[in-house]
Amino acid sequence: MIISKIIEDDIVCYNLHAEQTVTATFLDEAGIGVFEESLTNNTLERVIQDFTNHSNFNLILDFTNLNSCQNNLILKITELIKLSKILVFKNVRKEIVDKLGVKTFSNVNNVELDFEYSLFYLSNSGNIDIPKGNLFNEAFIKYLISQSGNETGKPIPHHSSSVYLTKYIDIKGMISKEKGFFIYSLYHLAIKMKTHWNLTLNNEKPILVCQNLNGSYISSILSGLLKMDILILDKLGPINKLYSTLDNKIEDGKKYIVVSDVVCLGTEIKIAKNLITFLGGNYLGNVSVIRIETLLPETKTFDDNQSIFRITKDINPIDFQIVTALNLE
Amino acid sequence: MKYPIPLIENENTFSPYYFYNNFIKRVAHFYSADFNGEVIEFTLTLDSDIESLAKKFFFDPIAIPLLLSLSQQLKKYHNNSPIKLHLTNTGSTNSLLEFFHRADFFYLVGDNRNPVFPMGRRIFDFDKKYLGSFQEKFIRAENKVRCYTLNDDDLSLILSGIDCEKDKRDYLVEHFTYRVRVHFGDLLFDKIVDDNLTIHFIEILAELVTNGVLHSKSDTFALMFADNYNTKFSISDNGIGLFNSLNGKESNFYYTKFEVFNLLSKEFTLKVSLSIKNSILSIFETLYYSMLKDRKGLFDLMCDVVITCRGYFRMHTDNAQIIVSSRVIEQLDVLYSLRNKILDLHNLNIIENLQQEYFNREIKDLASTSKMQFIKLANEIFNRYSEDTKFSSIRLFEVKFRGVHVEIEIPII
Repeated sequence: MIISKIIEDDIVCYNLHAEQTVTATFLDEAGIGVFEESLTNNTLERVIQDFTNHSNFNLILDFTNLNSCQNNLILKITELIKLSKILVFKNVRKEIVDKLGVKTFSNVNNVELDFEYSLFYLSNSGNIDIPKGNLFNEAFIKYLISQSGNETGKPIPHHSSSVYLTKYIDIKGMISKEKGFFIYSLYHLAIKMKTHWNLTLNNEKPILVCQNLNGSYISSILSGLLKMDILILDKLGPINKLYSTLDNKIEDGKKYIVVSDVVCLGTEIKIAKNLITFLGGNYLGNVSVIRIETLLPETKTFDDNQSIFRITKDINPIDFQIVTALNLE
Repeated sequence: MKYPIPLIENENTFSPYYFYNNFIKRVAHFYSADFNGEVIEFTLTLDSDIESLAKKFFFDPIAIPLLLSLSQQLKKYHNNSPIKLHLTNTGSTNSLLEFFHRADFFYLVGDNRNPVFPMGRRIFDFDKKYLGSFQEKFIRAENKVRCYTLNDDDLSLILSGIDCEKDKRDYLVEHFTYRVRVHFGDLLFDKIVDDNLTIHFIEILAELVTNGVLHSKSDTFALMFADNYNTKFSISDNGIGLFNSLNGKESNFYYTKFEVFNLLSKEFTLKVSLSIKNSILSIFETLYYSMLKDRKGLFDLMCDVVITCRGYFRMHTDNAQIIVSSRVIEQLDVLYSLRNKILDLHNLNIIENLQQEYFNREIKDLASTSKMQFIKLANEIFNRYSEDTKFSSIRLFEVKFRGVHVEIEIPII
């Protein structure tokens, strides 16, 4: 399975670290998820197999987050050179170029920095119009627009807060329709979490707390990518549900991160946070696919939250609105 | 009935040096002196030593793979019946038993079927009742002996579906990169601060394990050990050895099989037996062959250890061992630079499909220069050979120990 492919006109882009993460997480049980730093044979083979369907397209391989590579991969690289119109490495460390055995290429369009090449062409001449901006973000917005809507045209009551929503974001649809891209989105979330909470492979990591079906799916992927444990706190859910017993799921002193699909007003997060804190756990924050920033930055910093995409007053591609009976027309 | 051979005698530490110079001789003596088909037996320490209660016994962890490799060869010789290992659990042997136990040694050599621990290879027959009453001394959990084989993880089956030998090797290197990191990662991450060096180390180990299982086609035993100054890794197989492995290679227009071997053989002046001479020359031939290849291999690995990581690389096959360290760094630097030119030329040929005539001429020139440099290095090493291992880069042994056995030692910076 390829997760990171993004096609822009006649250019196909793959994020090799994301693909390496898949190799290291789902294809080999001993893998270390996003902590993987070395490109291996299997990953390149998967990319070649996939790119065969796009031969004669330009190809960009993004090496961001990769620090090394397996020996003897040159034959795989030459295969990609032959398949593509022009092959370009993006954000590739100089050691990797050296180790791949392709340092003989020299192109005036290469962009060289101290330790890496922002762009390294695997041809001595030729140039491609490298897409500007964040390709993943743009692709995610398109994906989000395609998976959100409101057939009734009327605001929908929120299932756990006393408000109406103008749009419904279909996370289940996102999971089912483009499974690969959804995992790629979660890969981006995992990278954000790794950086934000300084997660390392060997140190004790927080536990992911999930509270519904979507959350469980997201947690299971994140758990594989970040090598974290999961706790299913299924006492939460609709706002009027009673908490019969809380048993001993939360451990005293352990750190917890709550996982959600969409955080709108944060009601469920607050309930989860209260339960974790009440039972002696240490609530670190929450993660979600979509975060709606309902408060202005000067009122709330959202420091305890990481998400794939934030809907704010200024960035709202699906025109998502929260309304109440007071201002409902 | 002959007496069992003690692993440790007279408080000598069981180290790789002790193994090659002392222990293996006693094993050989067993088979040469009035050998009547009796099965060899080992004992942990000298049973008759009544003073043993006051003694302290030490076993260098990196010697474990050597002991296992030898014992497995003996087991095969004796119709695959496990070799008897007599244990005692006294005040002085208790900590030694505990050390073995915590290294998972007894699981590996016994009949363990619990997948939490290494699968038992039935190498030794020992009485489990002696294992216990341990002091719970802290021994690093990662200092465990491991066994790698193509029989694990359906590797044989997977490899049978891959046609090209190079692809098989790439598959195994990737597979063992993951395994090695799980097995030794904690130790490496704990000891080595530099992330790049850790990645480098894991790559080296994965290559070594791949070499072991692919060439030996048998079990390969490995152990990593770290103290405050060095990280040591020992790997041992009991396969066909370097000479037979080379015999299976083909000559091509820039490599003539056994050319370095034959040239060195003519100038060889050390007064040693033919098997010792063949062993040491096959080491040089192997390194030369590896140096000319279009793929990174043993030679690059050795240079990585000695030049990049400033460590020691020791390789033993049959009757000889070579020790490569900063002692020969000047000559090695020259060879490494030649090697890089060879690899660059191969890469250029792959990428740009160079004119055959040009490529042939260039690679022949480089191969010829490398050959002369190799012979120069080998002759210097032979001329400086002495019994004192502090000054000599080779060690020669009368007793043959089958297979290839590599130890690497990398200082923690």
